[in-house]
Amino acid sequence: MSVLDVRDLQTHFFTDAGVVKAVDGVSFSLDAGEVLGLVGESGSGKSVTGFSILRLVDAPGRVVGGQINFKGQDLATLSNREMRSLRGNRIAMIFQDPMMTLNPVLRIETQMVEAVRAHHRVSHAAAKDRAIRVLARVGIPSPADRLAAYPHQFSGGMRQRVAIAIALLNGPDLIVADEPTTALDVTIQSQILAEVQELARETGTALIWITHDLAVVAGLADKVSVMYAGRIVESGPTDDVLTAPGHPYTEGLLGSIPGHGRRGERLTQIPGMAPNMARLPVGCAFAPRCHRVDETCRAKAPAITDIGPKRGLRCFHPIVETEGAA
Amino acid sequence: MTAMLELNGVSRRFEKKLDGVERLARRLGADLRETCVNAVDTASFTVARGEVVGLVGESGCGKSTLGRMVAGLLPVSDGEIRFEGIDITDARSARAREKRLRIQMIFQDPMSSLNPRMKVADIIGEAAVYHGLTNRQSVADYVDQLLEKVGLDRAFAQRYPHQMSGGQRQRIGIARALAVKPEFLICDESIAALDVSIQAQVINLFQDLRRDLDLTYLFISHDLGVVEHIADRVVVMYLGRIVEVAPTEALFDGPRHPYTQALLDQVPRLGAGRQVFRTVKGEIPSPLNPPPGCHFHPRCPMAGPRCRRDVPRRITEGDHSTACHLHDGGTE
Repeated sequence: MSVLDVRDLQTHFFTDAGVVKAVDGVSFSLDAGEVLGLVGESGSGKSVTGFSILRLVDAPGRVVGGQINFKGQDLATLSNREMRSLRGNRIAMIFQDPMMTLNPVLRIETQMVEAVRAHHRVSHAAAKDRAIRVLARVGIPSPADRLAAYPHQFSGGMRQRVAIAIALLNGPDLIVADEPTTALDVTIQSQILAEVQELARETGTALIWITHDLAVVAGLADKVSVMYAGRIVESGPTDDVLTAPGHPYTEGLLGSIPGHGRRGERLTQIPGMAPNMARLPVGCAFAPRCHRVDETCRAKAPAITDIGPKRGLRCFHPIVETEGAA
Repeated sequence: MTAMLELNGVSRRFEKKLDGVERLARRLGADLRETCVNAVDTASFTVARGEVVGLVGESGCGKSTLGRMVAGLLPVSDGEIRFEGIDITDARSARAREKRLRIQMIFQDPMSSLNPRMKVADIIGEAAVYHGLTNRQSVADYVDQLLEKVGLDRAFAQRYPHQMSGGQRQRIGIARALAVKPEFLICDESIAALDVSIQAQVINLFQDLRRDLDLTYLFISHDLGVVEHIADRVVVMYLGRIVEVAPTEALFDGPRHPYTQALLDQVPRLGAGRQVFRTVKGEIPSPLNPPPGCHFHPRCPMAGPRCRRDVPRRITEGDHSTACHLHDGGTE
């Protein structure tokens, strides 16, 4: 059974400039131990999707439709109280900035023990024990001593490890990670990716890894969903999507990444820029930037269609493999 | 090929002197010392005319400090910087000042480097008028030409920075740098804050400008993929010191310094399939208290006793130079 099954999720923001459909009909599912890469550029709705799953969207935003089935329960229908007993317990979130998770004026010990005891009736000593084990698990040296430290006494990479440790404290079934390594250096990023990879494998925790970095997804995720203007435009097993993209946007993104043996050549850039989410075009949102566009695309928006085992695509004129690298 | 830019043993130290209370506390026996960070430690390299040199390293390695010294935004503690043979380390002479103008810088965050209260036309035109490259009557045309060069519509001249997207603002930053007709551009993480598709547009713009205006770049970035794409030669820094300099292909095909090897090993790549991420152990040490000898030795799998003792020299073979004892008589 899948751990998470999101169906037709709609999260809208009701602003003065109009209704912004930040997430507009997103669907995906995730099995235990599986890693989903949710990829997109800024404003594509990838983070709002993550926040919606944890019901952390603030006004003027609201989840207005769809189902979020977590182990058979629809999260959208739970009371705030029920939701709070899941958050940080069965479902955890890791943010880009670890200081979103950590309280700067409390010792790590206080914060971690609190997170355990909020959900389990255990003694302080038992909670502390668990905190030490988890800190050691994410590679923090001498964890028993470090518990007494305040967040500012850690380096950026260490702080992110602590945030990850807090996410792991109660052995969640699902972790939503929102760009957790974007602000880190390459060597620190790869340390954290290594830890996370092992964790998903060993504990069976399902993981949603939200990022703009396709290269990270290539190395980490089992499957990938590419978002553009609030919708998933392409999804499928990571290797299939990255080696043979079907959507012109995915193709464009891949072409935009420098540094795989095409030194000095012009990058195949996507013209224009991300659309204004309050005034999306009538048809396909990508149409104004697309090189395969025609009248159909401008007239109506394409629906998502299955183009193979576990592969979905939202395009009237997908790139077919027989065309070669056109 | 003579060097356009030449750095000889350039260093930059940041010192924090003790204040009155701390001096008193020390006299009473407290363990307080003046702290000193060697942000850049005797850096030497050259940039030839028309070349793109990539400067890479992780946060705190001193790459931005080095760029700022070349741009003249930070004074140099030791060493000298020569531009076309003229010493520009201290820009007091008119000749040095004139050379300095040929060097311009493009910053990481265009929002904090553009004055939010100025219109684009003034942001771009101000320096050009001041330096006499155009005058008040013709500055509008001058700005239009520059906007066209960086791929923006001339209507942008009447806008303010907050009315534009990140990619457009970065183009304004580039236009402003180009306004004084520079020959040498320092790009300090200039595309790091941009989305992937916009990043590609700006990289292409840099390539076009290089060809059209005959520019030379010092391209500072932590993103090895970008540097591999754009640079002819690469300088790798670690904790204030240059550890390796080599032509791009040689560096990416056969890195010699263990740090460079580790760095290249850890870059997530497309087309590599599912990766097992391997890691360099440990963290980047504090520059306040760097390890003795080779700064990298506590994290280096090949370190020997000599690495803990002696600072490695940079040994040059052909056009590839490395500061590592492994290439200079062993680590014993």
